[in-house]
Amino acid sequence: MKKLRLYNKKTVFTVITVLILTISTVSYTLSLLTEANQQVSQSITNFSRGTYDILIRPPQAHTELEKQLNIVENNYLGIGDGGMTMEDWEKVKKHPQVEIAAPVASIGLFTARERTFMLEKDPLDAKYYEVEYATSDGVNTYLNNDSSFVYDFGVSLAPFNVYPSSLEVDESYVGDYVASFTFPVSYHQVVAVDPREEGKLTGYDLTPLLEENLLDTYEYEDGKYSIPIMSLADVSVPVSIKLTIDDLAEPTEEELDTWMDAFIEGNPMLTLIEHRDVYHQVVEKHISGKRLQREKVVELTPDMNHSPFKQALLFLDENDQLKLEDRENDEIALGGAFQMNSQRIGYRLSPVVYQIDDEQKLSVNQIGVDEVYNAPIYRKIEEVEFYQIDDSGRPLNNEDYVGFIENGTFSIKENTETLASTPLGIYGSEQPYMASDSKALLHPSAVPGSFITTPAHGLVSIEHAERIKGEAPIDAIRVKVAGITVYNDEAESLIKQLAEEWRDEGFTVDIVAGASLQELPVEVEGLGKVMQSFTTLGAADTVVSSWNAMQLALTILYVLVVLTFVIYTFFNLLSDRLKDEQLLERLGWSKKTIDRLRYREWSLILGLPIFIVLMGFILFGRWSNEWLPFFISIVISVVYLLLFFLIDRMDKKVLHVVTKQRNSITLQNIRFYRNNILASVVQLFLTTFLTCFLPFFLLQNVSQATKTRLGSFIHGEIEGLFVVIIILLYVLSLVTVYQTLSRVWTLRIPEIKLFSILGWEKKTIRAYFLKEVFVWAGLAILTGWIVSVVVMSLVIEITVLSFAVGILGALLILFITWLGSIYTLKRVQSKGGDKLANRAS
Amino acid sequence: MKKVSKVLVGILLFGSLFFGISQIEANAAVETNMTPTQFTKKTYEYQTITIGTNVGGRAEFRFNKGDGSATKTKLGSYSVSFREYWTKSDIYNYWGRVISENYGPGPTRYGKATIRIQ
Repeated sequence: MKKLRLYNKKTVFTVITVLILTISTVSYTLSLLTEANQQVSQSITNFSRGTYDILIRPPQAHTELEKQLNIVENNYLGIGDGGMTMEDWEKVKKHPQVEIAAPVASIGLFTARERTFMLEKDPLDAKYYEVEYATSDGVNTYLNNDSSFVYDFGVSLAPFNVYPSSLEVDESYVGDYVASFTFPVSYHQVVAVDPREEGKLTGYDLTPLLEENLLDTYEYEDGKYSIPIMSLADVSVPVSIKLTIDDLAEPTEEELDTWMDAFIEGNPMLTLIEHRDVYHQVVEKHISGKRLQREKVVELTPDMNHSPFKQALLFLDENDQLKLEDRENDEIALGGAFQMNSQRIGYRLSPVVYQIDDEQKLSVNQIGVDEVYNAPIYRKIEEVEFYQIDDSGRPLNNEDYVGFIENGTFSIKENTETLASTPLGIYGSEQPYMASDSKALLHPSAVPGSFITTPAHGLVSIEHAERIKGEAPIDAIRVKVAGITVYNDEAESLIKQLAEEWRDEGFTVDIVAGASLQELPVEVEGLGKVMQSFTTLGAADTVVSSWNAMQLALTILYVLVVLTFVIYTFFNLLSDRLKDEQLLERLGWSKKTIDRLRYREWSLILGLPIFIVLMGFILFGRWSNEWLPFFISIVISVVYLLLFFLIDRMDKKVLHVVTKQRNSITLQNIRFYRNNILASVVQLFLTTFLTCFLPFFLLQNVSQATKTRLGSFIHGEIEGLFVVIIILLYVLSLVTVYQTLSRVWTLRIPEIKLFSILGWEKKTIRAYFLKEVFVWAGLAILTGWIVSVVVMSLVIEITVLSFAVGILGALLILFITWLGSIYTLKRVQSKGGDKLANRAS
Repeated sequence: MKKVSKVLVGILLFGSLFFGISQIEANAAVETNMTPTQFTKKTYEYQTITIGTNVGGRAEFRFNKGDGSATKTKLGSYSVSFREYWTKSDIYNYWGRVISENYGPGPTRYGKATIRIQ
């Protein structure tokens, strides 16, 4: 004998399938959410802490940019007037909760050794040389005003028959077999650090800065008083040289006599220095005509190995390439000239003054023009004489001498993978670029005063800072707090406590854990819109709050949608069998037997999906060692079981009470079927809210967080998950609405039949029922839209776009519901109504 | 026998000391010669100064006028000449130096230039 079933097989199969889908997707999605949360926490732990936690600066160190926008420019620690002493640093370093205390002292802008580049020349040959210098900021090229030339007629007629364009050119020109010219100077930022602490902070080996007794015969007293410097290997010197070489006709003795007669007292050098105009007139009138116009032009640029503080002499190789002398590899300059006091004069830069307008847009004004290159100057520069010399060029006091011996290089390119490496303040490798062309990278020209604050191009040991900069040379101390392994609330609280301690001592203290880069457009006078990197403080906080808000919003919506769906399904299934159970009761079945029958059927409907899902997740757990979905599915299964028992108890009490007809037929019908449409109303409300609110909420949060590189990284990792969840939300909601409509129309088949028998047209019947849908669905959607607008106005900024798109979204949902209504109604009509109508006719 | 041994030891000791010292002297024996070491000239009047050394091989010869201007260098062997003038009347301590590629730097030699107004 067959067992009695009140549900048909199709229903059982469909419900089991739907429950398998909901239990598994909810469990997996929730586990994904938890996993994503862990992933974000992990990302923040890994990347937001950066390499140090606290930045200590002298009192009143905050710039306007920091005060107003809470950002600092890239490499902001490369500039500074000091303010903290070596004792201050020692005290911080000795604090028991300090792991690393790495000081930074901006020393100033220095040029490398002033020296020449040379090309070999036959002493007997007569040659003309012209040298034009240029510098570039990456976009514009600036030409040096002075073009230098030398007429060198060799030694065949006179022992020194050379006519330079200026005394400076003459002082660099060796002559004989060496044609040498000044290599143009360029200024580079030098920063003092403590090699040991900095090494711990960055991982760079800076011990070469501690080496003593370095021998360099190009330095004063062979380098006895010089300072080891490490040069940044990733930048080259921003200069170029155009060298023109021409042959000269050899003058006759008579011509030579005529020239000498034209020079004052027959002395070219005297005429050049004391009567410059006369000299140039003589050169122009008598000598320049000797050029044979067989000129060769060579464009020279420093090679990639020419880092800012490479100080060797330069020469042109056989391929006319500019090379640094390297005697170990037999690359040799035959001669030249060099200056031992090249680092006597340096520049101290003031910070760039950013103009911040009402819309918080940044601009930088030009404050001057360089006289030599006509290049723009954007910030105040102060020329500093670091030591004094006597007439012969010797320092008045040997201990004051400042000269650098390059002792190795360091590279910042290799550390770019560390997302938060830049806030170190002196190693930012991000180059600004033109907003109109991201490939047009900008860098400072050879002229001091650029609006770009470069990374440190030279590092020296902090022990020299006092001597060069004075008693309080330190601009900042970067502190890494001891004993922190994970960046969590406890760590944050310890960092805050330490920060407060140093703040109480009068220092400017910032917690930089979590700082990350963001790019902002800056309007630079004379150049245009430039995209420049700035460092935000507290990026980790932004990312965490943005992620938490999104997680919360999605979780609440998702749980509501799923619960509504499940409750609705259970409610329908239990209601459907109520009539049958009443019939069985009338037939004499005991209540106990009826209940047993129900539980038996439900044990299959609910038990099978739970069993399948649990087995599935056990297999998944064994395969992937990921057990969270399994545990969550147990919880979800228990919730489903509880819901079943709750609805089972409730269902019997639900009675459709027919009230007096006081309203229109439409409202009466809606009221009558309220229990059937309630779930759809809830789903439509949630879907509308989701459509109108969530995209803008997400956009705002994500855009806020993705301004920083850290935020972009984290959001880039979890965006896929959002897409999955949002699709599930829509699918479940729309299925609920579809089911509701199907069920309501099925319930109302007698009505449809009746209208058909009465001769109503299909259209009229459809319009009658659709009117009801428009009322309840419209109200649900309208409420969802209103609530989304209210919440949006409280949580985020409402724009015309978000408002308009919200309305469009709501209308779209109404339209989809309307389409669904027509479709389901047609199906029901074709199943029942039409046949009956035909039969009646 | 004992006497022979002592003499042998003595010879060996002397030899090792002699050759050892010779080696040291060879490293430290880069001499810098400069001529003239003293002269008087008028402003803008050229003077040739020759810097020489006692060691062979390639060497860098340096010359500084002692007026704060750049130091000039020329690569050469044994001696190199620099032809210079001074622009202001004064007494200048010019200097020359040799840095031998094989034997290292030699001492700095100073000279005195008395420059008078033309």
